[in-house]
This record gives sequence, structure tokens and C-alpha cells, in this order.
Amino acid sequence: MPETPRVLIVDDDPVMRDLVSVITMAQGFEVLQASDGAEGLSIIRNAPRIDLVISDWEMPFMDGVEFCRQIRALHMPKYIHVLLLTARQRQADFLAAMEAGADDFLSKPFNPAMLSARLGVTKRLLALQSRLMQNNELLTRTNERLTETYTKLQEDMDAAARAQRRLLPEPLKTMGRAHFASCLVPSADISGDMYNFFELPDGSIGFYMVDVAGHGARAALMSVTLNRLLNADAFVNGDGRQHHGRPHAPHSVVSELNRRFVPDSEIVDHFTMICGVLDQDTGQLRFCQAGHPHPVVVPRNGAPHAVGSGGFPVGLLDGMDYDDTIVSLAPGTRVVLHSDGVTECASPDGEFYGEARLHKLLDEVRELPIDQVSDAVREALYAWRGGTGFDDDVSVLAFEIHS
Amino acid sequence: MLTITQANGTNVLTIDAGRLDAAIAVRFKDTFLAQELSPGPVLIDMTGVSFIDSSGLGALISIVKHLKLPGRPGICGLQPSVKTMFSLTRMDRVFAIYPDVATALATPAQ
Repeated sequence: MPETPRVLIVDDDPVMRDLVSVITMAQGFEVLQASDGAEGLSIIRNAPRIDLVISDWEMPFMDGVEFCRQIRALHMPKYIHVLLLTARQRQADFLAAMEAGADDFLSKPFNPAMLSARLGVTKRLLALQSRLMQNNELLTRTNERLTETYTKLQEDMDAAARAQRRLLPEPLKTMGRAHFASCLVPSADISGDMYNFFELPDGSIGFYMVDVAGHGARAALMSVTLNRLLNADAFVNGDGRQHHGRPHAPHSVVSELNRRFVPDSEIVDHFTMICGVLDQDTGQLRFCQAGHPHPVVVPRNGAPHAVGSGGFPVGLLDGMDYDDTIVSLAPGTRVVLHSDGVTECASPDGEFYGEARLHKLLDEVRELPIDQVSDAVREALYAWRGGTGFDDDVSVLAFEIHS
Repeated sequence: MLTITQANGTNVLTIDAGRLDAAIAVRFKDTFLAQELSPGPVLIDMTGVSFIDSSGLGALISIVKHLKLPGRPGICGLQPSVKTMFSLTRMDRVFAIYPDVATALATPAQ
């Protein structure tokens, strides 16, 4: 319900003031009175709210037009509708009054029916104005809430991203004869890439790379969960059987994860991964590929080529069989794992970077030390992208065994 | 995005999404769940899909799970990048893959 509209009647003639008051009160207005412009201005400045001013034009000290001008000069927060009563008929007078800020006129001697009709119009305008103000206020409040929520979401995203990044291994690390180099270039919209490697009790090295489907804090947090689950223990004791410190086959690590993450009904979080074990003494690489892009092997003397025969992603359907691929790595052979953020990195006209370009690049940088491989991939992708940020996380994990 | 028609007693789901990726995966799945299917085999026509990512695959598999079919649903019209993704992720274990709608409909349901 809008508040009762409040009118200020300004006239030096008390009889006129009372007459106008009676008519406006009958229309449901609350009435205040002033006998001249100065008193009127003082009331406007101090009264809680005036919606309408009905003023005589011809008044001593300050005429109605000047009064209008001074009302407008007050710049009240809420618009005041001004109606001037006048016997004047000249167009120039009306123009001057409107210029000064008058909204409407009523001729004197006035017809009470006309005044009532004018008041009806004023009430409609006031109702519109009040609705508009309410809507504006609602919009402002909604906007504030949105901004607040957005800021909070952004903070949560940043926190999730920080948690994710903190768990990544250092960019360059040597473990026995194996040298590892890695990098993750985050996309603007964070996503769920994760990788790690660690020594297993028998001296071999367990490693993995994971890409959780989807984007945002949820994917990042899932990647954090997977980092927690995928430790040396999962590679050695993960299936509940004793292996006397020897890692079991990578495909059983993946099967175990699939068993754990396949939901009964709705598919929620699923991911692709490479999970493997590297024996640094024999150079045997054994890995399970679950929907993740093929690892690239760069032999000392030979063209880079993809290895692995594909496999089902994890967390989609139960009862999926996973298998391992075994590759013998001669000393100096380099292996590069990457997320699909590399091969599906799109150029400005939408073309994917693709496996072929990646293989060519890895061939070109084969003489560079391993820690420069991920930099080279990152630079090549930036150039391919045309200098803009990535749509998806770009992760690269490279390793080689030295004799 | 998704239209369902009947052909020789088979429900043909035609996906016309361009990219079936993380951006539309959830909307795609919900659109499917809102539709009525007749009893009988299902064929998914992917001719209108030029790219699929793992979220898109997740949406397709959600649909398959929801259908609870006795055998594998058919899928056809895989464009090169979709075909690559299907082979990388061994989707032939979930779908019977055909070159096109005509071939699929001419093959007895499995």
C-alpha cells in the first residue's frame, strides 16, 4: 500500500488555501499549508516528504514561477509534482513556468471538478513513481546480493584452485635414474587436472595423470580427492591383497577407482586417467589408459609415437575391464603425458592443435633438456591460441630414464 | 538439440548440438529425460555432432543407463573427431556403432 500522498498548498489568500485544502483532502491527500514561497520552501526542506505542491502564481515577495525554480534547486531525492493556479492565458507565461519546473496548470477562477480530475492524474503519477522506486530499490538490492554471491563463489573457486595446485609435484624432480618435469597451465574457468608420481616400496615409480570431466570448483575438488586416494599405498595395497611391497598392475588401481566412483544412479563425477608404474632398473613402463589421451613416446632415435590402446573413462559404468600396455624404454627415451587441453586447444578459427602437431613439436625439442619440454608445449599452445588464455587446463608430465 | 522419432519400431534420437560438451551436457541430459520413449530399440543419430568431450560422453552414458535396455543401443553418424573419441574411450562396449541410420535400421537389433 503506498503512503497517503502529501500536498503543500501555497497561497497568500487564506480563503483560497482553505478551499483548495477541502478539495484535496476529499481526494485523500494529507494537507500542509504555507502563505508564501519562503514558508513553502522551508516546509519542503523540513517536512518528511511532499509529493505535490499546489501554488498560486501571483504572490507577494516570490511569485509561483520563482517558487518553482527554487523547489527544483533544492534537488529533493523524490520528485515533487508542481501545479500552478493562474488567471494568465499567455503562451509565453506558461512556457516560462514550465521552464522553471512547473508540471501542470489550472486556470483561475478554478472549477473544483477540474481540480479533482487533476489530483486524480497526480495520484496516478505518484503511484507509478512509487512503483518505479520500489522496483529500483529491489533491483539495487538484488544486484548487491548477486555481487555478494558472485564474489563468494569466486573466492570458493580460487580456494579450490589453490588446494588443487598445492598438491602438484615440483616442476622438476629426479628420482633415482628417472627425471620428471611437469607443468599445469590453468584455464580461466578452473578444471580438474591432477598428476603426481612417487617412489614405491620396491624402488619403482608410480605415476598418474587425471582429468575430471567438467569445470569449476567441483571438478577441482574432485581432483583433490583423487590426489588423496592415489598414493603409493593405493598402488601396492589398494586391492586389499598383499603384494609384499610390489605394486600390482595399474589396471587394478583403475578398476578399484571405477568400483569406488561408479554411482548407483546419476553420473556425477567421472574422469579420464593414465595410471602407470615405471621400473627404472629395467626401463619397463606399464600403464593403464582410461579414456585419457595417448601418452607419447619419444625414442632416442625414432619418431615420436602414441602408445596405448585406449580404455573406458572411470566413474561411468560398473563392471568395465581395464587393461595395461607395456612398453620397454631404452635409456634416454622420453615419455610425455598430457591432458586433452593440449590436443583440443583451439586456434582462433576453431582448429584443434591435435596429436600430429604435438608429435612434431616433441620431435623438434628432443635435444632440449626435459624441463624445457613443458615450456615448449605451453609456448606452442599460446601461439596456436593467438595469445589468449586457455579454455581448459593444460597439463604436461614428461619423464625419461638416464643410464 | 534432441528430437525423437519412430522408424520401423525403433526410437531414433537425433542429436543436433554441434558440440556435445561440458557447456551443454547437463541441459542435453535433462532434455532427454523430459521426453517419452516408446518401447523398442534405440538408435542415437550423431550426424549433427562435430565434437564430443568427456562431459558429453558422460551425458550419453547417463541416457543409456536410464534406458535400461536389454542390449546395446545403436549409435550412428560419427564424425571423425567423435569417432576418435569413441575409439579412445572404447565406447563400442556400450554402443553398437553403425555408419548411418539406414544401415542401423536394416541391421537386426542385438
